[in-house]
Amino acid sequence: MEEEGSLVQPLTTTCNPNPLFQFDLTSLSSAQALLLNPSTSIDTIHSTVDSLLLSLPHLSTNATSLSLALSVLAQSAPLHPSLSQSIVSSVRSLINGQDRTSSAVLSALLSIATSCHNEDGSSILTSILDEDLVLSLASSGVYKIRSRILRLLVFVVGRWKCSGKFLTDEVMVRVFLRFTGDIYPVLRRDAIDGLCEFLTVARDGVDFCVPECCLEHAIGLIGDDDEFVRVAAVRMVGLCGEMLGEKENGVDKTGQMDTIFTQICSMARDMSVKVRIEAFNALGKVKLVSDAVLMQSLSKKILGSKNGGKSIIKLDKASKPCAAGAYIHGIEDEFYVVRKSACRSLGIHAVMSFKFADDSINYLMDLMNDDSESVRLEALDSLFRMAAQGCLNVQEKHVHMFLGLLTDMSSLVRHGARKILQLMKLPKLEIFKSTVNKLIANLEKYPEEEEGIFFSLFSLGKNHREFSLNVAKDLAKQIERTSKGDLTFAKPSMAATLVVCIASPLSENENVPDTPVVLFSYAVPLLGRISRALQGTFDQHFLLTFLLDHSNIKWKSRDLMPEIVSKGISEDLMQSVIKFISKSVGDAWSLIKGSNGNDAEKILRSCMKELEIISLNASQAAITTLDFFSKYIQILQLISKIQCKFDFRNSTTFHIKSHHILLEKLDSALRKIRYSFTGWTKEVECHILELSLLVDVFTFSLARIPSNEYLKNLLSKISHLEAISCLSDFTKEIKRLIEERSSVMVNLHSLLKVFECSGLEFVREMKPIKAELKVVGDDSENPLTFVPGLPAGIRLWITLHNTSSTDRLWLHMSVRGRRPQYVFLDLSNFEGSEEVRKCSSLIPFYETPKVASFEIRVCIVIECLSEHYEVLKERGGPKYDVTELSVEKLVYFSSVKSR
Amino acid sequence: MAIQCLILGAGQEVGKSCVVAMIGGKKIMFDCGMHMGFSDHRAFPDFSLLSSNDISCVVITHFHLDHIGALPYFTEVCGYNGPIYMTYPTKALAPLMLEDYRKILVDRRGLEEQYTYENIIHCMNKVIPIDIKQTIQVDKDLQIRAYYAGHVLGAAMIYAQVGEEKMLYTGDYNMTPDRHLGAAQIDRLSLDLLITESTYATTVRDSKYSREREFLKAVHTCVAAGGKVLIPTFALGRAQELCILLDDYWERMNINVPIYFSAGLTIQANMYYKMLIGWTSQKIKDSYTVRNPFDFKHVCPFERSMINLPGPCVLFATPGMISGGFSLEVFKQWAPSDKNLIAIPGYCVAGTIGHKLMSGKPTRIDLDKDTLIDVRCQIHQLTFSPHTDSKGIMDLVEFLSPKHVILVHGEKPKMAALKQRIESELGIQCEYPANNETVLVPTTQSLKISASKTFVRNCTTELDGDERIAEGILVMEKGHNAKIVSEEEFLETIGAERNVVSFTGWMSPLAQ
Repeated sequence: MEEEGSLVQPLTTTCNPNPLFQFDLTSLSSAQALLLNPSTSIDTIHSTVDSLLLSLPHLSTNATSLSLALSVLAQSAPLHPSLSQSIVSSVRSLINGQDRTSSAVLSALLSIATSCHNEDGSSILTSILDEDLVLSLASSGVYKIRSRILRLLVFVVGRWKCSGKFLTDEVMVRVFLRFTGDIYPVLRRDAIDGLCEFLTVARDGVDFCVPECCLEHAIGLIGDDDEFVRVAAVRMVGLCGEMLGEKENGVDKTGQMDTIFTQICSMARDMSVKVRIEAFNALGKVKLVSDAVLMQSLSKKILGSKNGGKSIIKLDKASKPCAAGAYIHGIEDEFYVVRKSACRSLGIHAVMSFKFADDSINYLMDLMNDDSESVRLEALDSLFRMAAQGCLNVQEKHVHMFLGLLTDMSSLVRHGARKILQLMKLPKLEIFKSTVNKLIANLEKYPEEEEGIFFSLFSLGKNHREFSLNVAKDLAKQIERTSKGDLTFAKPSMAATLVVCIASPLSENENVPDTPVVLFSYAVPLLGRISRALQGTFDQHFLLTFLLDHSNIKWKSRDLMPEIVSKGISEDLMQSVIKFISKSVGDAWSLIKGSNGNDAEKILRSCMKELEIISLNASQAAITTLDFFSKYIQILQLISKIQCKFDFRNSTTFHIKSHHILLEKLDSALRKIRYSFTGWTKEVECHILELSLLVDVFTFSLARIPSNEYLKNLLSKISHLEAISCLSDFTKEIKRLIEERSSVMVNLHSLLKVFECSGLEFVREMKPIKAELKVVGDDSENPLTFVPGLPAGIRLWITLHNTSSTDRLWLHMSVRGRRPQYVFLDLSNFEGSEEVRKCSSLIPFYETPKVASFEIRVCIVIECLSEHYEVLKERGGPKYDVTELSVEKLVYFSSVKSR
Repeated sequence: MAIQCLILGAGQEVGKSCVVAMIGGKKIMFDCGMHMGFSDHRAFPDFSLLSSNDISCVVITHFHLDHIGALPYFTEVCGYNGPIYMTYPTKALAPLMLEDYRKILVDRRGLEEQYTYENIIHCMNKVIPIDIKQTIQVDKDLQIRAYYAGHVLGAAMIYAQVGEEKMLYTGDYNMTPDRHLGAAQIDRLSLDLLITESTYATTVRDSKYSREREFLKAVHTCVAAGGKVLIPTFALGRAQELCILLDDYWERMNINVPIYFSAGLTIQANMYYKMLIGWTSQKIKDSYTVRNPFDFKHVCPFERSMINLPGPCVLFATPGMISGGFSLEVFKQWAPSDKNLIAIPGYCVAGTIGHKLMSGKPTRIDLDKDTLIDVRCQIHQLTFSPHTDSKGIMDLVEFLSPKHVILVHGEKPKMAALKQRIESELGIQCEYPANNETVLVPTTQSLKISASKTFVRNCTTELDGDERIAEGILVMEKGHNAKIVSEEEFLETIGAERNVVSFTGWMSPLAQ
């Protein structure tokens, strides 16, 4: 701060209205330093800016100092937006001054305007500029002024809709059009960009003649000497073409569109790569082009008038040869970006014209042999769109090349090719068979793609009924010839061929009588694989019924049909299940109390099984309830185990160690159930608290000489219970025992007797507290890199469900054999509501070991704040016990050196 | 002013390219080639038409013999002693080509040599290498610049400028890129004269993809059936092109069949390609950062003992056209099996086996009176050409829009057709002179004129709508620079006053 004061000194003297005062460079640079320093106080900034502004009129004779002062002001405006308005009002009077001054003012204005938020920026300009001023500046002889006013206009036009206008649309367009004839290429380019911006912003609002006028100018500029002007001009021609094509005015636009198309085609042979890319992008935008012109763009030879309904000779004489072979040049280009762009626009036109599609497919298919993968993918994409529109007419000559893609190195290409195959219509049986064989080759080489391949085979069989029937008959013959038990049929190719055969009977119920029965029987053992591939199309159960129905295997339909599995769980069913389970649990309790642990265990186990089956088809809400029950039953199982081991009659013989382990387990299971759910009823909460009291009692009885801590803890839980509802017999008994200071241990048996299992019927509408963890960019194949000894970052995607803002969540990271590292998750950094919070963050892991590679276990834990006793934990970690909220994830690391 | 063009070779024919252009008083010789069809005096351009000391410089576009074959003769025998320019790859590869040809001429055909090995070495020592887009100031007035031409490794188009006069000599070029070379590239130059090759003056070539597709299909089917593929090629150019194509395909399709290169020039040539990677296509340059694309993954050297090994393979063998040597030896062994394939890329001279195979499938070939070859193998013909087609020529002419075009390196009737198209479609004057003819191309002369301040001010203020019209008076005095001045200034200089004469007209109604 001291330093700041000393810097302000020379500036404050400038406020002295001394006419002889001149800003020297030193004070200007200190002013600049002050304004740009983020820790300068607001007051200092204000006084600095004020003194700079006050001195501006004095500087008007010295253009250098003035422009320097203005540039300092302009630099500071983005950092201190509140000052913008005062700076703008002070420089207004200078705008019409000398050339250098006005250009400096304009650049200051531009930097202020761009730093403002959307509307403020242009409203600042609206306050200062008007039509006369803009016109006089735009026709200035000085390049700097012209360039700056142009840039201001381009800036304004981008926000045209949301600001008050100081120019009418017409004047704005006229100014831009004027600039397209400027002698400086940069200005020509900026002017075209401005017009493009104008057209995009005012898209529907503009009159028909505006794009037409722009088009005329742009066509004049596509032959410009400067590369960037050509790029911009071509883009504008495309944009105008697009707009004119969209606008309805009842006139046949084919002629106009043809002219635009051929004009852009003429740029396809430009020497600049950028121009060529832009040209092909623009070609894709121009719609409604006549077939004759489109066909010409696919042929380098000039097509005669007989080749199309309409002769292209009728067109403008100069534009006739331009369209010739534009696309051929595009897809043969040296640069893959150009080829890609050509390919895309070829695909766009192909879906709009059948005639063009027939010809362009040759070239798209040929592109499958391109050396760049991205071009191949783009071509596949175009072919797919054509197939989806039904204009993909595959010829025999393409098949070899196309099928080659199924064994391509790249999985993306293979996937793309299969996607097209699903829609393709093949002309001949031989081609069909070779396609199936190639898909099988694909399967043998890349077995991991089985699902996709099966689905393609299925679609193929479905689309070619006759052919697949033919294949089916061949296969049946082959099966008949071979002896039973031949292992050749266990091969994947067999499964693949079966999929083709059953496809059409399955999907349309056709061909069924013709398809040999034996195939259905052979397909039954492959059910799992087939149904996985047809997920979303057919249900596994339906598939099985279908296959069994048509095969020669004898079966009864009800054998297979557990009702629950097929229909999902209804609400009523859910209710009855819950009732049943809570009743069973009650039964189990009484058995536990009666020291009949084994029977209780049986009941609980069968309950668990039931829960597992039901949860397979349950709704999301039901799953939470079921999850709760399964956790609850686990607790009961543990209690039953502990209870069995306690020998009440001879308390000295039990094994303390194994009890401790069980108690520890029970404790953590209880913590888990308490902190994994929210929104439960009073009854349930009481019950859970009582359970935890029970655990305490167990622990208490083990400890023999109970510490005061334990007693305090018990009492606080009891008072908590008191606050919620009236005390149960069990709690009252404990309270009494504590107050009487008698040994709980002695009365354990009687205590258990009074413990009631109730309240579980009220389990409703609970929400799970859980977390999902996703590690970005890491798997065991591609581990993250680290430098041993230095911290390594892990990018995590965390989703939290139903957490409250008071919860304390931690990220637990551990390397085997080392102390875990905890990172606190600040919930304020998360987006979203209590229900779902999301956040992606880069978490540092500090203690990277000095090894070539290692793995970290990462999970999210919640601190159990209401567990009363405080346990001293690691420094910087959670203070209370924790319980896991997410599944543990493994993060793999490999040392930079070992890469 | 005019550019004077003496066509010493490749006028209305293909072979011995040589053009001497006099531009702004400087004589430049573009290319100095030989005609492969002759072995007498007609093989070389008629150097007697010029005096070697008049030539300011010689520029060679690429290393093909019909563009460089006569250079040692011109320098060492005719005694030209000035600078010679060629690109780096051309300088590296030219001596190999020249020496190879000299050997064939002397050792195989037993003809008299026109120049010796020492001549070649001595001549190449005088060469100044240039780079693409590098401007060379040959002397005070003359500057030349090379542009990328595609065609073969190191091929260039040569731009020459003296004062305001500008011309471009294309040499051979290719407007479509192939697998290993890029397309020709040029800036917008306002040229007075363009001298372009016109090998395919009327052909419009189809997409290269279909040719590649057919070739790959034939080769793949053959090796999949266990056959052997023989590709007889010359060492430079086609061999690399096809090898890149096959290597790429092998890689993508996971094919494990070996591709062999017969030892010798081809392997040496691959080494040159590896070194001169900057002169290849964009794709090669891009992938070079990861791996040198000329380090073919599936290619291994071939040995004579492997000819009869079982199993499929692909073999590139020199020389092309199966005119003898190793490719003939392999052909003898492989031709009798119908599983095998011979793929012939490009053109074959009449009389060679390649030519016989291409002109209709023979069942047996009589090599000499003792040797008969039973031909049962499949034959695949490939038409890969590194020359631009007529569409490419038209595109280049249109892009450059020169004032005048001269066609060389083509066949007379086709050139006539192309000339017709250039004149009618592009409106550019065009000629295709025969050998030893001289063409005079007029050039426009531009004059530097200074403008007075008042005039410039008038220009910027007198704006009339979108048009900018300014009026002024051009003053040209002897011994002074031309100057454009405003009306007032002009009156001041000549000391005259402005007088305004006004008329008042009156028309009598009776006159009707």
